[in-house]
Amino acid sequence: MKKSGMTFLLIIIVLIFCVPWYMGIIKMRLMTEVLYYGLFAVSLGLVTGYGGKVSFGHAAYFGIGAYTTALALLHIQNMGVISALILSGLVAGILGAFFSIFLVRVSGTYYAMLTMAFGQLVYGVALKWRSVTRGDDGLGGFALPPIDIPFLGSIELIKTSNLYWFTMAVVGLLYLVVWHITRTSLGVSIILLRENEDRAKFIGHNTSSTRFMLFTISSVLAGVSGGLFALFQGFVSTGSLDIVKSLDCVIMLMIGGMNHLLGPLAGSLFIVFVGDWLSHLTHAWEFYIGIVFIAMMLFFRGGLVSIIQGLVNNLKAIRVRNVRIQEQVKS
Amino acid sequence: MSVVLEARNIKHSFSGLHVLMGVNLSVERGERHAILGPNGAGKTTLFNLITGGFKPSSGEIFFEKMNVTKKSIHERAREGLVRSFQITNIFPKLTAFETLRASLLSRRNVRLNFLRHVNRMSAVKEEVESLLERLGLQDQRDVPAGELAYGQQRALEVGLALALSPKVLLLDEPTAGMTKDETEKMVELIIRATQNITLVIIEHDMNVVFMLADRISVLHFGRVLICGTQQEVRSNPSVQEAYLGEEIES
Repeated sequence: MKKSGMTFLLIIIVLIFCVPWYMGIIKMRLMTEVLYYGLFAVSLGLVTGYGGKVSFGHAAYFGIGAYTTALALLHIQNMGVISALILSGLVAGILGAFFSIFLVRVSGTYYAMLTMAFGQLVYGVALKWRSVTRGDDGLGGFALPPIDIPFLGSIELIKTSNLYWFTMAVVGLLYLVVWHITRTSLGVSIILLRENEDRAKFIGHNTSSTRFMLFTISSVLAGVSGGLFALFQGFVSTGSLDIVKSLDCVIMLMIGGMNHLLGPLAGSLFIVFVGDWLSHLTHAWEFYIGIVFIAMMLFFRGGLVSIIQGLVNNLKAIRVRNVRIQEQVKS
Repeated sequence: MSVVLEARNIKHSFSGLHVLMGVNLSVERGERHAILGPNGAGKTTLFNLITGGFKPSSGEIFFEKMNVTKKSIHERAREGLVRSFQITNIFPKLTAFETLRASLLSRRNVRLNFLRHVNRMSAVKEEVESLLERLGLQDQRDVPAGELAYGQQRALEVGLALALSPKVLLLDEPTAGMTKDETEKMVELIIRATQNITLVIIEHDMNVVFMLADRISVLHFGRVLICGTQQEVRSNPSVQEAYLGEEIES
């Protein structure tokens, strides 16, 4: 990576880390949302941005993760927060792997429709299996146990800043994992799916296996982000896995930009903060988000990230031109 | 010499249209075998059947004495049965380097490894660089494949197949749509790159066929009309009638 890119990334990391010191409680809570929705959007970004496959049912894995964490904290004694999140990733991953068996057989529109159908299937189960999920009343009332770290004492997650840092650590860790994967041969194979799946087969790639792994990894990530959502909200209902949630994720990804790993984070930052600001001004705030979405699709396919990249490139070009002019003036 | 690739009584039809009606083809190890035939004779279909793109309606395909009729595309590619495409079929947004690397990683069985960074595999990098040089693409290393000149894309197309170190390489009209200059370069490249590889080639350009091929099979309306050396094929009256005659006169 170039030096300027590194500096840019470092500034972002420091800014994210220091949030509790320069933001109030309300903003800090919004930032927590930005982080776990960012992870959710990354999970979709892997499938859509890197693998070129559109999923309209990603909330299923997010929601399963949320329910798993809630149920684990409610019913299992001595359940820790970290174990609950791992369980969320595991359950969502198993579900995603199971659906993948069918998803690897279809492409294009049929793939998108099948992901949506599976999403609705999971929603239906969550809605009707009242004895476990309490239907649309939702699950609440689970306590957040403190995290015990040997020799250091325990961290109370009730405190907003602690929950923020905990979310940041989990999301940051998984972001690193995703960043790492995009640089391995698995990442290369995933990009081949997007670029030309048919040709990939003819150079020896078992594209079904790649798709299976891609979707399973993505569901694990979505599951963990759902678990974080449950911890933060303290309440889980069918709203966490309905189609609106799936589409929210698509919108975040598309507004942020799906061809860059920071795109999903930028998208969730935009949706959460601009959404919050707009909703104070007007009841029709979703209408305006919709307009932004349409404008992005028409004029800035690369999303916010590409806009920022474009600005940076323009600044660089201007600087290069100025230097050249100065040299000409001197000579 | 031993037979490395054999098609036995291959029949194939597309929704009732019989494209291949009992094709028998045997390719010997190390030879350069050309498949000739007018448009619609079923040459590309035969390639697709051999490499697994389609499953034949009936008949069998043997590769290295193994029945591969039911094997998938990627399994056959891994065994060493590799094809290139007539209509350039590459990864438009990947650079020339990344394109060839994808193929080389596959040959090394590094496809789903999620531990090692590909940028740190220096052996792979060196091999890609040397392949780029062989293809004459070293200056286009970081150019997205979709932005390369047509001739360069064709070279990349063939390179993608070559990178797999195939046992049998099937080239589908590698010089399609090329200028005379580009064609010469491509023929040179093919001769150089396929020293120890069995080659099956579909080609319309007679000059290219006569420069490259040891043996020629003529495909006509879904059947092999004749299979033999250049002399045998040229002097065969039914071939002249069917195809060759007009082509040579023009």
